[in-house]
Amino acid sequence: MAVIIVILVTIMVFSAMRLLPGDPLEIFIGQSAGMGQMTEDVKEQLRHEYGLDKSPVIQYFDWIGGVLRGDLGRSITYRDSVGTLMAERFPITLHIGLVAFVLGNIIGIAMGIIAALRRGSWMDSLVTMLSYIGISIPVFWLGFLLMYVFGFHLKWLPISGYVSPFDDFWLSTKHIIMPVICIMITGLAVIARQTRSSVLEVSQQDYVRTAWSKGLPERAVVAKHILKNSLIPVVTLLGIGIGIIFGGSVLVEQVFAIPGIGRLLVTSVFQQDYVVVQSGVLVISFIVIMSNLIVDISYAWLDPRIRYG
Amino acid sequence: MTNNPNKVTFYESPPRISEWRRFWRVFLQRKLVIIGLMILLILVITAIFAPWLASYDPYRGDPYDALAQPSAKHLLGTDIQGRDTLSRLIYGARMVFIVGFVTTGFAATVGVTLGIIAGYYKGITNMIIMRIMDALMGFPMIILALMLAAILGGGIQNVIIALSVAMIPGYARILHGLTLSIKENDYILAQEAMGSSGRRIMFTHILPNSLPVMIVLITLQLGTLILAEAGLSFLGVGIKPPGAAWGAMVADGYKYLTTNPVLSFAPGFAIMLVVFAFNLVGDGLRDALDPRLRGLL
Amino acid sequence: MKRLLLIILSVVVISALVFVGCGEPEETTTAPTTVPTTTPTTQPTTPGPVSGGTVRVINASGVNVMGYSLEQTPWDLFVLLCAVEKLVEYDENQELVPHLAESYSFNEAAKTISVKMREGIRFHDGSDCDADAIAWNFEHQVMNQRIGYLDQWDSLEVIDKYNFIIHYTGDYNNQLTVAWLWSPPIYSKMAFITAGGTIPENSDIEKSKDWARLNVSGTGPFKQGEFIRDVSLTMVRNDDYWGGTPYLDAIHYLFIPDPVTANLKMQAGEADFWFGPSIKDQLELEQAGLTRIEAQPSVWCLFPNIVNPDSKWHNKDLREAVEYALDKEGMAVSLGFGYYTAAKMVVPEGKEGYDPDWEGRSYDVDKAKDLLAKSGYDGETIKLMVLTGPNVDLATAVKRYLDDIGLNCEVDIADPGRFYGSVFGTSWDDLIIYSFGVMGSSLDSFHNNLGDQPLTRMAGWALPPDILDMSIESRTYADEADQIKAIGDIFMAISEDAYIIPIYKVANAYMASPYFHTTIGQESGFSQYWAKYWLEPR
Repeated sequence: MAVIIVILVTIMVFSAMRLLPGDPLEIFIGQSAGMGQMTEDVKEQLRHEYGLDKSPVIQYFDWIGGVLRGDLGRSITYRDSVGTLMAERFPITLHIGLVAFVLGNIIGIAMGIIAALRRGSWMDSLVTMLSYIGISIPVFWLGFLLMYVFGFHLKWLPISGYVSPFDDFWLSTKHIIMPVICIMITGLAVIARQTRSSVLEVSQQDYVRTAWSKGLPERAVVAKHILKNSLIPVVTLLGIGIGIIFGGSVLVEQVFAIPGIGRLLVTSVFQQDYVVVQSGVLVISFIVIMSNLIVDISYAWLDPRIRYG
Repeated sequence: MTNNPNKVTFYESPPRISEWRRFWRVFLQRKLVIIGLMILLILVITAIFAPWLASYDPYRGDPYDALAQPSAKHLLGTDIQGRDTLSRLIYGARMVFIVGFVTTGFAATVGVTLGIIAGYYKGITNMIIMRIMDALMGFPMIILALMLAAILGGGIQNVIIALSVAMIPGYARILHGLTLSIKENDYILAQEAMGSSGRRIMFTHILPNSLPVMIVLITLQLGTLILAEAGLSFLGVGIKPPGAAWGAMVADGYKYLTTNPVLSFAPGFAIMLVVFAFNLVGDGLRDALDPRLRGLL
Repeated sequence: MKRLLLIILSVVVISALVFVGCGEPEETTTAPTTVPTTTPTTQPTTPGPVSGGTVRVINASGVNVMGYSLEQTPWDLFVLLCAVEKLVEYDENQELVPHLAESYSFNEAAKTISVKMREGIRFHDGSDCDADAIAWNFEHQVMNQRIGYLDQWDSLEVIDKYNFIIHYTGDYNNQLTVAWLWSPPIYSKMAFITAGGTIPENSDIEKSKDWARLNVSGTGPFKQGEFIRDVSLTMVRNDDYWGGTPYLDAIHYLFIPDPVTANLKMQAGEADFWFGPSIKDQLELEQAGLTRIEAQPSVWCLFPNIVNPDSKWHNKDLREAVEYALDKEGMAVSLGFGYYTAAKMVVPEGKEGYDPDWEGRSYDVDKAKDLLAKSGYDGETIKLMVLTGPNVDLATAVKRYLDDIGLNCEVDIADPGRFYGSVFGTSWDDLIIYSFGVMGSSLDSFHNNLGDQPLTRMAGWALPPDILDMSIESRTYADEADQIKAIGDIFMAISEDAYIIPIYKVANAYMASPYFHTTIGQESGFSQYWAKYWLEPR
């Protein structure tokens, strides 16, 4: 099933990129303005080099064939193989994304549980409030506010850029704090809300009432009965979380000048660098689709009521 | 940790009251919902009476009074074109409705239709529709919208189209699931046995039954939409100037973050407030309409 | 109720926090401004240039192709000007002077250009920069049609190690120096070939190309250090530089596309130099104690489509109506913070070819309306195409004025892809916002950008036939005074018929920390002398 979806994705991306107005070579020439003339011969030669002179159907199969062989094609603007470009950028997005994903989920679940267990207390109000802010704030705007307050005004954190954790772990961590906050905020808020309502719902189930009436200590009730069951619906959100991270990276990497996959995609959409957008989106959707698949499977595994034929 | 079972509240069996009365009681009982409704009401009034509320032309400024700081003359200052920020903010409320409602309307109509069709006619129709929806879901929304906006060019219609397409699968998926479950109900099976046409069943039974879920989803999605529009504006494919959209105002105004923070702060805060209100109301609606919570609330 | 109060309270607190975060530093930014304004005069404390230090330079776009000139864009080359040099360069007076060449001369009778190379210059890889290396560079350029006036190119003849002759055909053309000697960057032949295999005869050209895309080997004062694509590029001192040892240890380029980020980075002292800040950022940073270095000016204009035979812009009344409709002064004030000046001609005021006596067309709504009515295009919908970024503000302002006289102007904000695709490929419908800048002399800039054989031809704008002939003829003038007079006539002819509608002259500038000493402001922009720049120790 996932294979069909991935094939559909490839067709969609491929045709979408062909619909973009303008010719990538014209754009390349436009950017070379002042660097000499580009005659029709040279254009034809480049067109041939990138296979743009073939029919779209053949171009599509050429591309898919390449992808299956592990060759993602060659970027028109960067003049380098897309595989190399991806290899440079994917670890960066993944680094920030994973930290945001893990932190966002842990903090979100914790906040949700606290809010639900102390329903009506100030902690509940605070969590509710923060989660509302989390889903209401424009992420790029939050980025600039953070940058302005912590980077420029208080000088606690570097304003922008990225350093690999293998080069300088401490500096790298300082660099990613603000981007991580921006990327995780939406997911965190969604998770906290879901956890809260889910915990509330489970708390009212008969088996939880029974557990309380048996006189079990709070810790035992919460850990054994409430948590285990209330986290099942939260799991479905994890798949969506992956999507949020890649979506968020598009905006956040732009704000903090992080050379990740999101920024590569934005630049390439604007440069109409077919090959990069095609393969980039393909890889991202592959990951999103796969993580949704894993979530579906683990959901079925966690919740005995659901069995997929 | 103390052992205090009172932390979790228990309720008695459901009282017998009419569904409508329950809805209003649950819905309006919450202070937060009232706040949300009030914010939205103010927004509606602002949008309708914008020409009377705004003291300046939102599109034509005085170039000799550009980037003025907030003062009695311009409560929120002016932008680079010398346009009054408050007036643009007031007119921007209209754009929230245009982008929000047209997009949701479009996405919901298409998504719901596809979802119901897919859920009702199983087999190949279901497979094709839902796989396409899954594939669309595989793209992060902002990337999909960015690609579409780049294909179509900026401008309000194109932003609406791009966001609609990105939102369709969400509706289709939920309706698909709902249709599947509603379909198994005895009364639908009975209708089928009596020979009602598929289309009739879909539109007379399934659609109204899914309405509560739809309303909740739409309300909550409106917030997401406003944020997505702001994101697209930030990336440079938003609403064309001189249109006054809050997202575009944040994107324009953040350039003056250090000198004229109010330029991006005011529309950013407005977005936050409205998305916040939509979420409050959406949550209220969900609780009030959720049959599982019947008797609990 | 308690919960409700708390929620409201927290909203207020958070908004207050944000407000404080935004508002407070306003005072803090203005307060220190009075103190560091004295910093530019710290020069006396350090009497002269000192060696050492790494200067951190912000540039909006990164390098895609490092050393393969055939695939390079000017944006790539711009960052590499500290590593790559040319046969001739512009000096501080915007005049072309021999650089890698020791001398060059035209022989009009024999139709040759003789070039004598400076002896002993070596590329970063250690190989000699001699006539053979130059011939190889030209072979590449000519073969791939990357240089102008190729119809006049005949051949290049290597005389000996340091002398070569270019043979040309046709009439003398005063633009050949720019097109042939200044335009091509000179790269190491040996580095390219050996990258494809240690035995030159068996060198694999594809391997060489791959190497050259990521590596640069030129003759400049700095050679390549670490390159992280789209993040940074470090250029380290070339101790072997022929023009004397450079002062700086290294140049660390940071590629930051977002101007707000770049601005904050400059203010936080995380960078020393910024190419291309907007006027707003220039003034803000100047307030914060940084040095503003004025660069060569340019004029932002509306280019009507006068190439398409069906275009309504062949109508002079319409073009004039548009120019009279614009409150250029108003736009210069609001968008230029008082630093821009309304432009009457496409050539910047004060440059060769500018005629101070030309009155131009100043803001006159009634006249604009009359002319529009006369043209018959009243109420017409026109499209104004603009590149996404700071000029959207200009487009917004122009739209407002054009709407005022009864046109229906639609602003079309294009991403770089669509914009350059339209400008140089598929053309545009009505108007685009584009600039004319003077880089080097206005004579050369005219021929490079607007002339009869521009380096890159715009799809929707070209010299109209009568002016085209003037341009072709002017290239054959040997005397510089005649050339400049001819250019003046051409600019005047363009202005009189409003073939280009100038809006304002912008104040281009670089921003530098007071510790960084550079003469880049006097240089042409595309000729930079990094060996001379130095950093004051802190």
